[in-house]
Amino acid sequence: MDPVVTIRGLRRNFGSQQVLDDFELDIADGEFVAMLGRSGSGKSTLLRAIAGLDEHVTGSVIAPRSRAVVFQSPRLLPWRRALANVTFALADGGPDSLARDARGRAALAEVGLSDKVRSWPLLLSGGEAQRVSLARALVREPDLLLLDEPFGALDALTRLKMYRLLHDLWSRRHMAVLHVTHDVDEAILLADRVVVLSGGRVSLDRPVNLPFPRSRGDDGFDDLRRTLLAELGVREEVGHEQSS
Amino acid sequence: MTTAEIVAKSAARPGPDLIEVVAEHRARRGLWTRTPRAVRRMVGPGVILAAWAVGAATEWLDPDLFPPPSQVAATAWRLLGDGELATHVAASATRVLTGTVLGILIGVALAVVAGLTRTGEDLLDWTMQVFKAVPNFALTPLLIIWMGIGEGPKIVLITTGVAIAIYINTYAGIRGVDRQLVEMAQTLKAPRGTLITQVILPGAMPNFLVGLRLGLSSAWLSLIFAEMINTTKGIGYLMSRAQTNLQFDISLLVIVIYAIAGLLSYAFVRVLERLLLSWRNGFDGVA
Repeated sequence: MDPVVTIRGLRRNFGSQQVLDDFELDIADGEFVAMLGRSGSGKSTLLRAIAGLDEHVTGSVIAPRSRAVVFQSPRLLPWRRALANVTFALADGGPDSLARDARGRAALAEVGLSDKVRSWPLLLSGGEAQRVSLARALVREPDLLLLDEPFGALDALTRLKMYRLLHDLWSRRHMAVLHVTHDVDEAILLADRVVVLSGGRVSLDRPVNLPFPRSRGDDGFDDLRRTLLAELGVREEVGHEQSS
Repeated sequence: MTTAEIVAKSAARPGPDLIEVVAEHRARRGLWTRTPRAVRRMVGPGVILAAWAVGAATEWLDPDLFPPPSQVAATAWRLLGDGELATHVAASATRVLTGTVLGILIGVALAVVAGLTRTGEDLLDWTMQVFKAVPNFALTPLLIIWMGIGEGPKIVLITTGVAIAIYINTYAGIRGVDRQLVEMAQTLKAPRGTLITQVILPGAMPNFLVGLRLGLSSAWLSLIFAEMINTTKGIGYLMSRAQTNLQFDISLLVIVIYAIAGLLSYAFVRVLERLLLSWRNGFDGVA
């Protein structure tokens, strides 16, 4: 199966710092790839390069034309209501706003916000706003969904609900997904494959062979988590050994 | 135990002193904080009016030079009755309205060009700064030479002041639009027109309204200078005629009219703000 995303020789530096150094990655159609990395490792830079937001990157990025991005903040237009935000810039063959609105409502229903269709963004909670942002990305039926730490600003409980939502949406539509996160558990719960970005390139690339439904207590979850944390150079234990 | 008892008890023993937090807040609300805002805002002008009346009554203000409010009101009533006031106010208001509308159109158009394109900014920004720096009335002789002494130069004077205020603020608003929103629109491949009308202009709206407020006050100011150019109608004419004839009550009346015009313009912009920026306050009433 040919990959839908092919990245070769990607380089990007900020001043003297080489953030992406001959970066390479393939993503297959329908594959959910989670990308982990420490702060400043270049994960967001990579995602922005694939999204087409970076003019200064060099190298080769082959990706589907139809891409959608979900950012860490919802980035909703505060002066339009939720439905108008979802259908923003949605080209639907002519000025047929009824069809467009219908698609928008369907997308909001998918993320569980049918009753917030006419809400103003500033009155939505963080989780609701992010769900609108997700609906806006999905209503275009993209071939590649790019998520840049989408749940980072949400509380832990909302995050758990969002994992389930994202998984359901993906298993229904099966587009390729690149999910950038710093949360190891989130990566293992959601992805087919976890990739660690370190030193400007992929330093670890592991499949997640855990069956769905997944949860943190599953066999193999801890092992994978420990491997990833070790690769990220992070210790999990808190405090020191008590000397008696 | 009641809260009072708990508080009292805490003072007697060691440990931190306890207070009732909610009651402290309520105690601070005196008469002033309970008066509605609109009434509070009238205190300032009210004090000025009262000082004027008292000053005239006690003859601290010379009654020949500074008639009391009652006399000015009577004069207003008289001029209203014989239609004079209406004629002059209408003439002035028409000039201000024409100049403001033209100024808004020009100001917004220039701000969009300068705000959205680097070429536009290079061509326009310094030019507009020059116009801003040159005082309005210094242009008057040039305008008279160019356009004669009819309505033309008056309207142009007003338009210029409004256009500059609108341009400067709207330009700042356009440049200040949240980059994150522009990026979001770019990732969704929004066409240029959609980007401008749905992201940038609404984002610049708060600044535009500031520009409108400044533009309107500049319009009334320009009117004063404009109506010094050979007029037979308008409140500026009313003022200069009154000064020639030493009719101080009419002079004061014109000042009061200017004050009211300024307040009404301000109120108008506030209404626009509530309508156009309701999304900021979270009102759910306006579609």
